Amino acid sequence: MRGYASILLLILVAVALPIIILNLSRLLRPSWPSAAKYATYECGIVTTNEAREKFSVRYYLVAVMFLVFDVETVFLMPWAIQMKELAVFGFIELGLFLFLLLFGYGYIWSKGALTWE
Amino acid sequence: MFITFALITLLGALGMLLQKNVVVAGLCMVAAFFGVAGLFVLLANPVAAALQIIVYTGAIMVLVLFVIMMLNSHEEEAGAARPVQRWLSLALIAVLAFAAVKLVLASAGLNALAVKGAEMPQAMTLQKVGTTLFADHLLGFEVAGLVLLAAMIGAVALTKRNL
Amino acid sequence: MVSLNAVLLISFLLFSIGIAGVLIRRNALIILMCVELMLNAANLNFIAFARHNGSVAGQAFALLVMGFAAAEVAVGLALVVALYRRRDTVQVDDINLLKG
Repeated sequence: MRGYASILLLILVAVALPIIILNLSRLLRPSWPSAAKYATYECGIVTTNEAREKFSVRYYLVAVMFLVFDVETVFLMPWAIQMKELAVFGFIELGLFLFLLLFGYGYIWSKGALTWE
Repeated sequence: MFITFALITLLGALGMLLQKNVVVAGLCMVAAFFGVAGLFVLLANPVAAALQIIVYTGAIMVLVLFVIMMLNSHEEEAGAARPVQRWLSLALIAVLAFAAVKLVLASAGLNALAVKGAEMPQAMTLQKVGTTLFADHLLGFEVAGLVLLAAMIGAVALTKRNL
Repeated sequence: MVSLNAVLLISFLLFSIGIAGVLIRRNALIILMCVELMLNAANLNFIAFARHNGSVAGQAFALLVMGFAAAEVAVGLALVVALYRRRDTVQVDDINLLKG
């Protein structure tokens, strides 16, 4: 358990920092609120609608490709660490795995899923 | 420590179950996954914890939030009462709980395991995982590659407008 | 040292919440998230048994489960996106064309 103390400390600092900064500035600043000050861009253009807008579906395909290749990296990691011990057999095994995924990559490329239409 | 992570996990899951706003429910799911990663650390398995954070709270959560934003469906769900489903789920959980408790209490092997665990096996390392995964479970590994390929092609075929 | 039974209890509760979510909630996205939760509970069991059994097989299978979960999420969300495009809804109650 000893090695995790630093991670715990990092989490605590990350949580505490915004709380401290926000409360400190609230204590120190003068407070005369007005409608114009509460606008999102006080000196800029007037906002017209909510920040939560629809994204395009095109983003979905990019996100899916990211997900698949992220998981692939997770599978590569144990192999990379044990590469010498696994020798040729492991290399062939991994080659098969990579071939499957590169095949998929070639497929989506040929279908034009990677181009921004 | 165990209680803390267990509480984070269960409260996150409950928040997801009860929260009407989909975005907030998604963030509750992040909390639940994070709690599970903490439990993995407590089980002396930093490998699983790191992978949990990379895959679940990284990739899957990004994807879910993407879709939530995309569909613009963060409006409230219609609060229709669903008595049949509610009772069905309660009954199912009760049956599961009964079976689980009965099995756990009745199984001699499991009790022996619970006692044996006290002798502190070593922590999991990535080396051990590599050896096991690539030597003993290579079929599962290749099948996982095939399933990922199928998922990739399926997602493209379902969402691409003009193939 | 975390006792095996405590972890089994947590994963059981997690699984129950997942089941309740799938049955009660009507939003397809939430249902998918609840399925993820159930897979996570299974993963927790795998890791706990790997720990108490002193074997690595549980860990290897947890890794495979993560891969399958990723594939499931990709296809499931693609279905939701395709459904939303066609029927303009993600509520599973509104999807009743086959209901006769």
